[in-house]
Amino acid sequence: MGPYTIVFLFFILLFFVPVLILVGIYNKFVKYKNKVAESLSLVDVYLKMRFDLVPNLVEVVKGYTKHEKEVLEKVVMLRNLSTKAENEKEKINLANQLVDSMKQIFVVVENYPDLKASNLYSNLFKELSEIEEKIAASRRFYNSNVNSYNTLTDTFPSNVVAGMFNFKREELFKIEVNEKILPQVKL
Amino acid sequence: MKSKQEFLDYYKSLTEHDTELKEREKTLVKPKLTEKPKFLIILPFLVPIMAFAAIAFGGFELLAVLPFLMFFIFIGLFVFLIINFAIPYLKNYRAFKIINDKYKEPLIKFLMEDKIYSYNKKEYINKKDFNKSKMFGYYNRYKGEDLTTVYIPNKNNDLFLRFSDLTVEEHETDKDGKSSTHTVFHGVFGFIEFSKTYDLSLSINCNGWFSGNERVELESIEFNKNYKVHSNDQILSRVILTPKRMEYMMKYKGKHSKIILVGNRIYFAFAGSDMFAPSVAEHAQEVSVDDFYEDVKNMNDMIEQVKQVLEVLD
Repeated sequence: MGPYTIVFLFFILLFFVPVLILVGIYNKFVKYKNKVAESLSLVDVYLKMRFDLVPNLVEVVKGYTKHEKEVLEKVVMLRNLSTKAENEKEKINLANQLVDSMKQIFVVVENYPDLKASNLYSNLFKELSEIEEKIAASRRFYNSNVNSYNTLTDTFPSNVVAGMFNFKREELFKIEVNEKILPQVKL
Repeated sequence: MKSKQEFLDYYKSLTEHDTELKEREKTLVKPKLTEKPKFLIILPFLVPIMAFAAIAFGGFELLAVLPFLMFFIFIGLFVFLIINFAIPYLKNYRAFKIINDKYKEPLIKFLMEDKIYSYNKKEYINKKDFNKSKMFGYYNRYKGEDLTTVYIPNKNNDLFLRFSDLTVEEHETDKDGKSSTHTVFHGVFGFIEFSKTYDLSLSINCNGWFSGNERVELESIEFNKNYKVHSNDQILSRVILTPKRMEYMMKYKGKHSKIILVGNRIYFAFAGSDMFAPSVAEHAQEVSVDDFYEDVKNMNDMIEQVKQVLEVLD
């Protein structure tokens, strides 16, 4: 192997290896970013399922109560606003306000034993409970993906690649869940 | 389930007049070591390390002393193992045999009285069910004992639990006639079958069981270190593995457990000690059957967890 070949191989290594590393890190960023987007879309799916159940909940409660108009109207308003939200941040903010209002409905229901005992209400409650579980699980999945992605943007040497290609930290959304209607794990 | 005190009172009522057992209990020895000491791991490296040290400090001449040194080291190790493992095992064996032959079955029957179950000391999980789990690789020796089957009514999804102790080995003989045996699995193996079939596949500590299943990284670093979870559904696996359930599973970390949920079965394999195994009491010269109670309690807890998981999947 002549000296020119050695020099040639040296320069190939000098440029080729960093390029390979760069491509590898860039692809990892793309993969993680896609995972974050995918998990956020799953959160959306379950939030939508919750929104879709709200009119049913309002109808069932309305049939039993005459004096809780304000609470029910607020829930309906929040639900309608959520469907018109323009970005994720707004959607989640409205969804969290909806959870607060729904908590008030569940407090109201406690004062109407007939309503609580009715089949319509218990089936609806079961459905809502399952959806809250899935929202909680999808929130955990989303946060886990965001943490992995953010760790990549913050640590060396991937933070250099993040700077080069404008990969920015993602926000961890605080997605509220109605803890009281989640099934409790008995131990 | 009966209380621990009721169980221990029942055990006492069975054994109080057993003079042979009392005689054997007088010679019981509490084993000082319950698992292989970690220092044994350096054994394969001992010869090269000593050879290097001999050459470094004494020159090649000192190498001649090496075989004698190794001989004394291995004699010492042999005596150590005899004192800490073999002697306690032999001394305790006869007392444990009395418990296993005479009292194991009535004790299990007492604990499982409120359930529909069957127990057979000499039988074990059949190979077909073991192979179906695909948890382990090739083996050519298969034996076990203490086959227990329990039927658990559960709303619309009745459960059928079957488990036993198993010892699964691979025995090889090379072309020089030298044979070796490698333990593929030793511990408790079983499955829970339910009437509904689910689209979810979830495996814990079974790397490579399912192709195409993704790793599920959960929030707890400790949990992820001890339990490698793979699944075809990231959301449902998180619905099942809630923070509280993860906390419950961490009680059993280090027990080398494998779990697979697929179709209408959950397979489980807990490596290590056998179920329903007598031991030497901590502060008394007598046989302890506490583990019998703990084993049944742990099975009951596991069944409750499975019922909750099935409720979620329904």
